[in-house]
Amino acid sequence: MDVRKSFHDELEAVRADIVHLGGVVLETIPRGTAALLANDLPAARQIIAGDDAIDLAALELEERCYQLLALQQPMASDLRAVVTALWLTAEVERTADLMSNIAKATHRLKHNEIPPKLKGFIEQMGEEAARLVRMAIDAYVESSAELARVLDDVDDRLDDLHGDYIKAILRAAPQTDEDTQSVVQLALVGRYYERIGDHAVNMGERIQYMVTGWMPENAGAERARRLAEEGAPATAADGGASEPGPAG
Amino acid sequence: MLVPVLLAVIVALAGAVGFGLVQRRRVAERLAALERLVAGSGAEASQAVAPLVLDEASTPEGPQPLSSLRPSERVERLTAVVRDELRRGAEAAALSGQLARAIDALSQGVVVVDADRRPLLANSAGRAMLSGRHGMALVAAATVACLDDALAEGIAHREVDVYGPPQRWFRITGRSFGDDRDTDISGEAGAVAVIDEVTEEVRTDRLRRDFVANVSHELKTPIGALAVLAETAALADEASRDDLLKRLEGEARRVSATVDDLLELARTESGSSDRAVLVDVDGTLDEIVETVRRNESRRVAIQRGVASGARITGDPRELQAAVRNLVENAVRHSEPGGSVQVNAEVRSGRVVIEVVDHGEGIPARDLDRVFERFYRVDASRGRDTGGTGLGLSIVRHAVENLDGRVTVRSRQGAGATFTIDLPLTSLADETDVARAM
Repeated sequence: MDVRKSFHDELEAVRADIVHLGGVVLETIPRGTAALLANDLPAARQIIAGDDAIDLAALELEERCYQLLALQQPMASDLRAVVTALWLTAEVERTADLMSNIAKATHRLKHNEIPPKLKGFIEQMGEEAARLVRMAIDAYVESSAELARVLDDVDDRLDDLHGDYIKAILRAAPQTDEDTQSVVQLALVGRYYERIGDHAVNMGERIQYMVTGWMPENAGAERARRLAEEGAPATAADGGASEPGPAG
Repeated sequence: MLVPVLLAVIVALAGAVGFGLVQRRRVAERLAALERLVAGSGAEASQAVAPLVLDEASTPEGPQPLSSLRPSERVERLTAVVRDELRRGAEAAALSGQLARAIDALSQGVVVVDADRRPLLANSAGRAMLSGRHGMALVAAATVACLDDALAEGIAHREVDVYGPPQRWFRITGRSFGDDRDTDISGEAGAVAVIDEVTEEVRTDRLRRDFVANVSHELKTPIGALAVLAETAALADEASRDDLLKRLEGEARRVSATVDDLLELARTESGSSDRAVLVDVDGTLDEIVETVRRNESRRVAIQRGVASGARITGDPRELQAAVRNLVENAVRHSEPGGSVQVNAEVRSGRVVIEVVDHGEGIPARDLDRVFERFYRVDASRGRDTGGTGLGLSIVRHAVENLDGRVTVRSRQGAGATFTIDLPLTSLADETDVARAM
């Protein structure tokens, strides 16, 4: 048996299954948004129930990736492909969890009418989140670093929408405890959509890594690297020596 | 002297004869090996001819065992078989290429697998549908499942809807094929799946069902109310009768408005009339705004923009129907004390009429359905707002009759802007129209 052929066959199968899982999760975004806006509790329950199957599929994909690493010991681009598959599985699974949270919020908001202005924002955030996830999946299918790179810019629109949405919520001052709870739930819904956008951006970064070997910038890591180069003293948090005090 | 020469000649002759015998044996062995190869190749022609080639050969004298033929005759026979086989192979390759191109030209996706589920063929449409791009992974998964079912049970069907947006529907049909089927085409077993996008069919079917349901509801409800009110009025005392009679009148007007709108819709749907005249756009808008202002009671301010000086050519009733319905719709969906803007301007050689309101807006999922007959964004509020649900459908057909198009931009909670785009009648065109009249 050709071992490399078998590795690439299995890697291709893993890729196809990640794309399928991504497609399933992508569907939950407009369906979950529609359920929230229409106060459709049965549709929301379906999304919550479906999350378990997504968790199982993600776990199985993860195990297959570990098998590939352990048994095939891939190198270079093959190694990047398997590592990326692991990352993407986690990002897709987390996106599904966020949509499940939105479906749970639908239940908690069932007695509260969402104001039309906020419905408009939720609708737009749902569309932008779905667009970002769809673009990320397309970038993976096409192994396109260019498409993956664009995701960060597109996410800015979702972040702006989220900001405007929060301002609109704050303008509607709650009158009762129930109103306060409703405001908190609505604010969380906005956060969930914003996080879905962030996960799509993460997927884009991993796909760029898979295609080109580029590692995403991390502000904290960059700061730590600069400090190390400058020979800056260790901080108290490190348990290291502090600066010597003045003489005398 | 002679003896050694004679001996040398005899040895040479013996060597030549011996060499010739060895060569003949080698040729015969190779010929036999080639014949066995052709017979065992599995090619259709060789399967038909192989027994003939190996066991007997046809000659003018009838079938002869091969061994009775000279090597040159056997080579000739073999050459003919191989030539035939090559020709059949070339024809099959050409036919296969034509079939593949024909299947590739289909708009439906076609996917063929063998009995072990290994992919054999997928046309361009099939590859696009199964690629996983644009969220089509669900269609891909359903196709694989359909092929599995078809291999197991002979035939299988699946329907998939992808939410999008836009929402799309697909119908997948799978059938198995193989040697045990009642067919004269032989070959390996497998299964084929055909993926059909049926979005338009589903939408049309939904439109038809909704229209029938809505017409029944819109007519039956007020007619039922008329009957109940009439019965109650007959038994009521003086004090209550006036109120009941007013309500009777209201329901009768509602039925009348629905019937009027249905008739207007039928007129606009029947296409543009022969009555094409120059129409003053500003004059038409001013007249409609004035009429709506007079009749509305919700203190919604209707504002007119700067005059455009634009003219179009067509039936003035179409423009009146389109603009009147848009303005009434905008007022109906505005909050009391709100405002509506009605503007017209010339842009890039077109007349652009905009009706803007600041009401509750339209959800994105409803935007491509608002022009359907009887479609209401909030089904429960239809009777409260006083509309029949036919207005925007009338607008669409009336504008199309004027060779234009109508579009809408809206967000929930942020009002709506309806835009009518019409061809402008220039001064030169005006002269032509005047001459034709």
